[in-house]
Amino acid sequence: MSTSPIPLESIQRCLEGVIPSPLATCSADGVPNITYMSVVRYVDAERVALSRQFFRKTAANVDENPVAQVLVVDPDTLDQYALDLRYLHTETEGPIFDSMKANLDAVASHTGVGRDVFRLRGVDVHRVVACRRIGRDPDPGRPRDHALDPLKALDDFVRRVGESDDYDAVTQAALQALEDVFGWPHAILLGAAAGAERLFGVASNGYPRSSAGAEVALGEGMIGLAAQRRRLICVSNLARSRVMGSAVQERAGGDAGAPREIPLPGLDRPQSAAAVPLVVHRELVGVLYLESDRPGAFGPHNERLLRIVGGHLAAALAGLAHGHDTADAPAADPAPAPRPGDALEVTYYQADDSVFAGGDYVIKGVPGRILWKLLREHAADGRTAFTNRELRLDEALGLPAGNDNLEARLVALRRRLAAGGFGIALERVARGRMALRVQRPLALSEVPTSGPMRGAHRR
Amino acid sequence: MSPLEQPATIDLGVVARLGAGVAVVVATPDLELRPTLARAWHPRIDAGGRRVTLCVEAPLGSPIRANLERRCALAATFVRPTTYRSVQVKGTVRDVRPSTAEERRAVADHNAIFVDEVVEVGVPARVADRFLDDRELLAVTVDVRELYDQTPGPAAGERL
Repeated sequence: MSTSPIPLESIQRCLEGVIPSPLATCSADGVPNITYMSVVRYVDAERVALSRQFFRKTAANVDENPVAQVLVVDPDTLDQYALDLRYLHTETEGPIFDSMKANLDAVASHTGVGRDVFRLRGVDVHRVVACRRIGRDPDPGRPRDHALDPLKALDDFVRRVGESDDYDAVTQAALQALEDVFGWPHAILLGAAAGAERLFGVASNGYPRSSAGAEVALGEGMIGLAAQRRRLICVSNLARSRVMGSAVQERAGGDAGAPREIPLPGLDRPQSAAAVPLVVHRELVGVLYLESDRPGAFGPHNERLLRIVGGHLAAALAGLAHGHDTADAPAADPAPAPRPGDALEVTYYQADDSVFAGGDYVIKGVPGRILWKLLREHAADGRTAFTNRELRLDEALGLPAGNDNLEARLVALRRRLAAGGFGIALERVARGRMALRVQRPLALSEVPTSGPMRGAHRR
Repeated sequence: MSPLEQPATIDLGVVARLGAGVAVVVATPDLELRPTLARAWHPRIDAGGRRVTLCVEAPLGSPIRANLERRCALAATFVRPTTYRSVQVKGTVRDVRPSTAEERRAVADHNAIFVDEVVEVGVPARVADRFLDDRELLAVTVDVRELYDQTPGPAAGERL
């Protein structure tokens, strides 16, 4: 039973890893030792979990003398608290371990430090015997907690997302609602398809550059790790993580390799971030990535909220991912003929399904195959009207069975074409229907491959 | 007899080389070997580099004050917030006395540089000076016996 005069629940803001926490232990022969913890995690009203990384002496001391003290700091007020601890046990698996491991792996990936260096060796669970305020008196200028009523905010979010039945419109409504309702102005939505090894950028908000056409490999960076492990990842202080990563890398003599280049838009120096896997019926349909220029914007205090937002968004998008296929023949197309002029050279590379227009990279992968199909058919007979259904039935496109996320891919392709200014546009004209617009005549060329993708292009 | 070893040489200059804006934290055990932490300021090296004197936040009646006054063992970490380079010294308390006015001014100067450091790594500027509680500062001199590299990474904890 804790004798703590300050309930641990009341200082959860201190347990989000924004400000590092010194931990003191003492050997059996009376010599104290201090180490800095990157994570002191709230477990329940009487317990905290500490990450065990580099701390040989701490581990030895706790084995000999299972008491410790840790200082934790409120990142908004710098109010400080001393927690007297008694070591209970070490976990090397389970939900607490998995959650902290995912977080540390994300930090390692974000900072370019190998995961072996940042390896979580275990999670030490301690009982909090006492919790006392130390240092100055409480901050009188303490900022009011965000006046966010979570139920009202979720109600607003759900209502706005539900106002449309079109995938594209839902993504826009959701990202705008994240900014308006929750105050998260920087967000990227990525799509995933069954069996795919990469996520693809679908939509973004709060950046000058579009995310459409960008890709992230599963397991790469915060986004890829969240997708791979189907686990929410929040890093509450990226500035500190970057500094710590540099220190570790320097000491490890580390060749971290080339820095991870995630070809997505992003803040120059984000202070905190969250990657929310979007999962429906155990199936990954995407990732919602959020950034903030404020430390501590994302962390344990809003993990539940993020999971609910992600769960609802995932369900909404999954319900629309297959679109509204129409069996009707494409409607007659009123599109104007391309203006005369020099032909736009468009090249398709079989090796990775990449498409270049006028020498500029457009897109690759499945969206590249889709674009190439549309362009070829347009070049053959001037056709401009297409349906989702015919794309889905075209085996040559190689859409995966089950969750093909075709709607998300079409949104990504449409936005990429719009952002790139290539003189090619793909417009949604009705449910399950789209129109290809080209401003100039096309000159298509296809570069075959003799590599491993050769078989995929034999028809 | 103290369990702390007496090394052949100690280069406490490594503490000074971390820079002027270091975060300093000390730990002491009570008679039941329960550790207590406190922040400390204005470190300076003397006695030919074998002693360090710190101004330790030690409120009247606090466990840390009681520990210091009985000349206990002490560990102190010095961490530069913007680089995470850090060292830890271990030794025994040699002398404890109230801080002087001159020392308290030096503590304020140290805190001003420290504030610049922590703001750079995301601490809100509005409150960054609140790490310091200068109401009860004791000047504590420590005979240093051991010195460790504490920078995070595989070498953390190695002797210097």
